[in-house]
Amino acid sequence: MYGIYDATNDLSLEFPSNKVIVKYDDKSGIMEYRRIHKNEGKLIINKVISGGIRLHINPIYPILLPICIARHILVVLENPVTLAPNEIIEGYITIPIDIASYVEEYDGAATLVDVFNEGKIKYTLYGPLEGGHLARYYKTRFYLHEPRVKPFIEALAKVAIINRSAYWITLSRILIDCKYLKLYYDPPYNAYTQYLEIIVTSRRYAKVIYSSPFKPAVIEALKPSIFREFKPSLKLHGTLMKWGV
Amino acid sequence: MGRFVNQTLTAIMSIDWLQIFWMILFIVAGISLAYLIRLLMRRTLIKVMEYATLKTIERIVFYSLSTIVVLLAISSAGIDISGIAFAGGIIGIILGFATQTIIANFFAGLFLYWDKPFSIGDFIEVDNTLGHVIEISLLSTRIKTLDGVHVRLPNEKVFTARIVNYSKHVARRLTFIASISYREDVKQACEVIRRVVNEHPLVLVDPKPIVYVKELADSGVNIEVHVWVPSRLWLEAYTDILWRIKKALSDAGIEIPFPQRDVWFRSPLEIRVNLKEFESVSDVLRHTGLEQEYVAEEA
Repeated sequence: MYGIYDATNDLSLEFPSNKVIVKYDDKSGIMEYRRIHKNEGKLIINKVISGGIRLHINPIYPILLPICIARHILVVLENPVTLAPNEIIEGYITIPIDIASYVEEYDGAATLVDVFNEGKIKYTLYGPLEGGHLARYYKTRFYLHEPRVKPFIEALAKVAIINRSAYWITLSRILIDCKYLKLYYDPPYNAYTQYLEIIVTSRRYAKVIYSSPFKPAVIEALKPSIFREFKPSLKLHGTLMKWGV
Repeated sequence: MGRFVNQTLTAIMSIDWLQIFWMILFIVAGISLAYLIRLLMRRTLIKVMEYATLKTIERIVFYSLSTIVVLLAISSAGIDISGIAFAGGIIGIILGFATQTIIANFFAGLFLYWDKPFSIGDFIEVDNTLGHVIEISLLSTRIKTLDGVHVRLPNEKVFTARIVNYSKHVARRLTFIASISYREDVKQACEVIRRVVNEHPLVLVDPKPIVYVKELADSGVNIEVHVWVPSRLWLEAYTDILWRIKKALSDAGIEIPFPQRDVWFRSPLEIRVNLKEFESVSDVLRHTGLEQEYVAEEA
């Protein structure tokens, strides 16, 4: 259900546990946005929006719920990858995502109106209490072949693990910084990230490098203003994993 | 009258107007330079310093430089400033005695700035005051308590007090005690609690939550729960987790006991009753709740 919808018509979008309903009043040009939790039958959000002409349903970084407390995602591998020195392995992992609704104006400016989740939300601490990172926690597998992702819960990431150390290493987790991560989608429900390179430099340190999208003809997901304020540094974009791999 | 006018004119003519012009120019240039230094300080130090502290420091620098400029200008104009310096010294000593506390607070503020035990927005406890830091100036620290009260603490007091900063670390541990009745299944209760904390979005996966039997207490079995939550949301997490544990235990039919005490009497109780108030012995038994026991014994 990812995509761009004409919000000047009534809409009803069904997700596994949520339902988005948009009612448009032609006379006033006012849109009523509602989201209902299907299992509980509860109205979660009800907003009156004026001036919107399009509704965007996009994947979004999973760090805004229940409120924004983290900037990172820690993906823990159920099947850790062990590599010999100077060995490279390419495969896929899935990372968690949330779903965002944006409303777009005539001039193309879009604003975030709702974020919801179809999976389970858990956070963890990566590193020590002082100086460590709070991160959205997700357990997944390292796949050699492109797996089927859970729609609206996961995005697919193609990764290359490069062992640049002189030792055998075992990679059991990957820290992803939303400052550098980009999300893409292919309607109706496929979500992707960039190609990620995990360069392991020792048994303890690694760097995650964010490259270009690995799928052709995908649409880049919109970013809410708080992420647009993330200014990537001019140096090589990367996340240093300094508290263990 | 003519003599007075002559004297005034002579006095005016004897003034070195060029020197006065240079003195005013020196003062204007000096104060402008001091103002530029103030602006430069603001632009460069704002990234590393709290605004309130910076404002005080830049004011001190500006007024000190301006005073020095004025004194230098007067001195260069050939006016003897030793009297001003002497008067300034005496005023300084008097002010020093009068402003001892202010100076102590000022230096404590500077040390707090270097030591950085907390920042604006941190949740701290100082001198029995618990709340969020809203301002740190050179003389005082202002805290907004949880009940919305604005507290101003002199920096001297803050610097020497025991400071507990609950926001210094990204996560903090919360502890709950859930008491269950002796007749309940402890293993099931622990599983119910574990499920609650594992499903709660604010309970961190790592450090791991711990659920264990802590004590076989007087009224029930005490199960202690340790969970780590984001420091910023500790209050929301605390109230929500506790409520969910209570609800989950109640939904699972696990009894949370009230404090209770069984009293055993070594010898049989002797009850004395004023029979005048009752019509018969059976009335007494009914009133004391012993009727059924008596009937059973008789049978």
